[in-house]
Amino acid sequence: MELIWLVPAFPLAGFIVLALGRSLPGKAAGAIGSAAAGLSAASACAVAWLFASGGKAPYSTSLWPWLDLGAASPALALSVDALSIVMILVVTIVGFLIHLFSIEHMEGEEGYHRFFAYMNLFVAFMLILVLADNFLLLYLGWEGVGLCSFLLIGFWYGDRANGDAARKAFIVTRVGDVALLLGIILIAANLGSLSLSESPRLASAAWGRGSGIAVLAAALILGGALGKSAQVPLHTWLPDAMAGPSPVSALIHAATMVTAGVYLVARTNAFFSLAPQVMTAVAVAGAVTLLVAGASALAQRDLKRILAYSTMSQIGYMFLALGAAAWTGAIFHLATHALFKSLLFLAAGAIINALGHERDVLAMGGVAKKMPLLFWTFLAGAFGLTALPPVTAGLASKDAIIARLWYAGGDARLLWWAAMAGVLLTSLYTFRMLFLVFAGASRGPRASGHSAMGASTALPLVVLAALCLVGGLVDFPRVLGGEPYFGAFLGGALPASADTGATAGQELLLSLAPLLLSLAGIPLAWLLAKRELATEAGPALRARGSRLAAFVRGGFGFDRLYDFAFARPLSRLAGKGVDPVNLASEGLRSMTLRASRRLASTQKGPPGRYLAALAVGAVLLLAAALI
Amino acid sequence: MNFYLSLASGLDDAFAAAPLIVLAASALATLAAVSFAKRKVAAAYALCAIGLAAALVSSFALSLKMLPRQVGGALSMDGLSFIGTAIVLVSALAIALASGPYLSRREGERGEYYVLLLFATLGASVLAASSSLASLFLGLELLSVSLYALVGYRRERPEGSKAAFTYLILASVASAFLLFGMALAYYQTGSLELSSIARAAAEGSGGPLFAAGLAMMGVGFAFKLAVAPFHMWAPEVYEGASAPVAALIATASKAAMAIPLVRVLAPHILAAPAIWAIAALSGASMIAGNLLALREERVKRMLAGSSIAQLGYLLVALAAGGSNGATAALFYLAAYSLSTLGAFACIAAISSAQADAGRENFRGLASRRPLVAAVMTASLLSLAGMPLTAGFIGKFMLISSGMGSGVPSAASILPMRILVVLLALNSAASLFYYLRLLSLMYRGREPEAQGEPRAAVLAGAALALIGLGILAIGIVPGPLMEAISSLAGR
Repeated sequence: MELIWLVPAFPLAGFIVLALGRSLPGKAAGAIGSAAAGLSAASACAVAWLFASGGKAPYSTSLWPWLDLGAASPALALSVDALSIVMILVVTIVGFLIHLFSIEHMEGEEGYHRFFAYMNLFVAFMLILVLADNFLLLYLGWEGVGLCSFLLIGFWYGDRANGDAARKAFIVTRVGDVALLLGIILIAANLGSLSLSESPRLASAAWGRGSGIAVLAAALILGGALGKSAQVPLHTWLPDAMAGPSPVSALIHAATMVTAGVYLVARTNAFFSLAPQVMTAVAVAGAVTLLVAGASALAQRDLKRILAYSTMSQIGYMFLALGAAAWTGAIFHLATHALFKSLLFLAAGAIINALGHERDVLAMGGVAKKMPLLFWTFLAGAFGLTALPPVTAGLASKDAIIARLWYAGGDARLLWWAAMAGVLLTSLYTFRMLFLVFAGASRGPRASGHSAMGASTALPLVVLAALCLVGGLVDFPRVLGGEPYFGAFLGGALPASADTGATAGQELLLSLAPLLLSLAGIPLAWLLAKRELATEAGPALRARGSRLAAFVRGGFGFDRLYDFAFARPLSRLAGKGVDPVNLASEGLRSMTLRASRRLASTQKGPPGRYLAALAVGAVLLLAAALI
Repeated sequence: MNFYLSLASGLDDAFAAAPLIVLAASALATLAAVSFAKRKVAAAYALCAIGLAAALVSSFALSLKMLPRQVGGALSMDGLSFIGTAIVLVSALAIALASGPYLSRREGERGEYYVLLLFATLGASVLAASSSLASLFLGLELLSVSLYALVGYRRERPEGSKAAFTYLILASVASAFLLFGMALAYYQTGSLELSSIARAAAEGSGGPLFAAGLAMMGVGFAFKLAVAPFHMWAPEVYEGASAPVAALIATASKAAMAIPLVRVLAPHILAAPAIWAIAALSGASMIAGNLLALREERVKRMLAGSSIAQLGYLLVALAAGGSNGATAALFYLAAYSLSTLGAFACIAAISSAQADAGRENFRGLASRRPLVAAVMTASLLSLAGMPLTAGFIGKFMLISSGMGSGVPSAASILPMRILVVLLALNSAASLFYYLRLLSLMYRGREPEAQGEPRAAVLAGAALALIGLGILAIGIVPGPLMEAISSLAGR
């Protein structure tokens, strides 16, 4: 357990080596980057094994105290409990597989070193985020992953649009980051502790349930979580973030960073328990995102954008679970989602590469025959996404969340209906995507990229597919013959959910309902895809359709709203050259410069002047002493 | 028996004062080498570097074990003097190593430079260890006279001679103030001991002549530290002196001068007028230094402004006083010296044979000399007080000592609060000129400038060590902090 620091140290070392060794041969860069991620995964597994065999006692270690500020000392301290074990396993194992995949996938790209350097840095920061013992270190990781996300979205910065997308992601998430920072300051100032384990205890003792300060603290933390996890209203950056390479989308914008908000809320659950109003807000944000993103995904034509909206909508499920205090359920869905969504992104990246960088699903078709391995692995991921058997990953995690909403009763039933509608939407957009990409004959111009795949590309896909297939078994409902190992494992770190007291029959019914709804989506999706192809009149790919479709495709006009409400007025104001906020600082600036010029003119000599100044100073000092 | 006892005590004295003895011996040896050796300059360089290294080793190996010990009537080898000597010796060693390649590129190189460097270092070390006015003045003059010669060392450069004369005239006046103040203090207290004078000052038992004496001594100290309004010499002297000599003035000389101040001020609770006076000097220095540096195009003058401001920051801790203030002041002194040393050593490393490096030599430096650019980056960021550098921790400690629970008297709260606010505002403003130079290094990919020297091994190693030191102290400040606070207590 003392070796926990190795887990983030390996990728950090990998980053340093890659950043300094720009002259290394390309092959070596991929190998070093993957090896660093692999060693990190190995050490994470070792730590997990030690943790599980050592009685699951939380462990924390202070690497060194950076500064001693009395009560709130920001030490570089890592802590290990069941929650962080789950997170480091997800981050390092999925991260390693994605690194492995990237060796071949990114071959020949300019900036091959840079890619692996940033990816390693990202993994290091992500691990710091989930291992941090205090809010300050967590915030370091939080900002670090944001930085890496920015750098990797803009990886192909030669194209201006990519740089713009990177900037958009950075700025929109920044809104949330500021909220989180304010929340941390609020907690430190009021509780005198930055510790993630101690401050919740202090808060429970000092703050009343539903009191103003508790609501404010939870709401500020939630702001950070919404930004990072791309939930309404801070979600507009994620679809554009698909400008980055596919492995980046898989690692950062599907499996790990975007779920950091879920981790954050789960980690600080005590603050949310103190603020029931904010809990409701968490659930509502999740439900709204789930539906908005699901509907948007249905109208997209860009394969990666479909997956991006799907990610948002799946994280919406996690927020729903958090809002219903199903903490372990949210983390379980986070883990399974990391598996099937990174699988989908990697497969999508391979498809897009093979089709000569074609991303429009209407121009694809017939991929199943050409690339059977990609088809089967993508199918595994898609079944995970729609929670259909025999793939267990999504089936176990999503159904548990939906059932939990039903048991919550009261107004939460509304959320159950939203979740069910989400199930139908998920099934519709997933199978529409499947049919359009894989079925029938190829429609696109046959620009052929390299479709051959080496072992290092195929292996991660197969491993991830296999994990999707069996991953759900770690927490399968009892009524279907499973055992909730996962929930029991997390039980030490997160508060257990209240017992539902449901009968086996009820449970069975509740699991069957979403399953049937998903199945019902398949023929509907088939019809939808067929009609879409017919109206598109074959391969002539024009943007058409009703205004409603365009509205939905544009993500329900959020971008336009923000543009209208914030970007335009501000840029108009800036264009006029009038900035009321700047007036004061502008005055300060010119005053300082004038003073500087005046003072500099005294330094031109002759030495007699200096002597005069010395004499004046001496007189003043003497006068002060004598009076 | 008595003989053995006195022999043993003499040996203990010698061990305690080992760095001073080593320095004096190597200064004499270097002088001999300059007179008699065949390859005068090389021998002087080697002897100087070895002597400084030996003095550093002896201070850790011998002197440290004997602390605290009064040597004779005038030298007190205690934790404070150890810290001061260590800062002075590290600075001098780095400067000697940087001087070798720097001077070898220039015409008319002479070995006496190293002799003067050693004498200046000896003077600074005596100053740091002085417990009486006599040794204080002795050390100060040994340091100052060596510096006059070093500033004007390259006679063929008119600006060097001009700077040397300016420095000589002004410093003589300041020394006169200091000496007269000492005389008045002695007249009133009948003692040359720093501690008894400080006690008398704290008790307020002196009367007007004594107060005037203290103020006049204050003029002398403020001049040496280049605190506003006694700072006017600094830009011209920094500009006129060669880069290594300017570094010596900025680091070793100021650090040595600050140690007696810590010795006198830290143990006592200052009266309100004294706090206000120090606060006025401190605030004026921060503002004047930063304003001078703000638009300065000449790098050495910019660093002069920067060091005027930095010493203003330092006074915050001295005004706060107490053990917190002493620890903060000493830590800040170490961090400031290391960072300033790095900046000047970088200038020395890229200066051509004709002139010291200016702004234009820094353009695109990162692509030509990555090591120098990296160390310069660390130094500038540290001077600006950016986190993960020594300067950040130093500034942090200054602020916490200024705000701290250690502030003893109610009268000091208002001036201290004002100072802390000024410190924060000034740090923000100073970012402008530090970052302006910093960004220049990463702009463009300039071809090799005319006459830019090649990298030298020893000087490069010293540079790298300074850069690593700045980062190491910034990332793991604990050990140094603890060492300083435990030593300052001894």
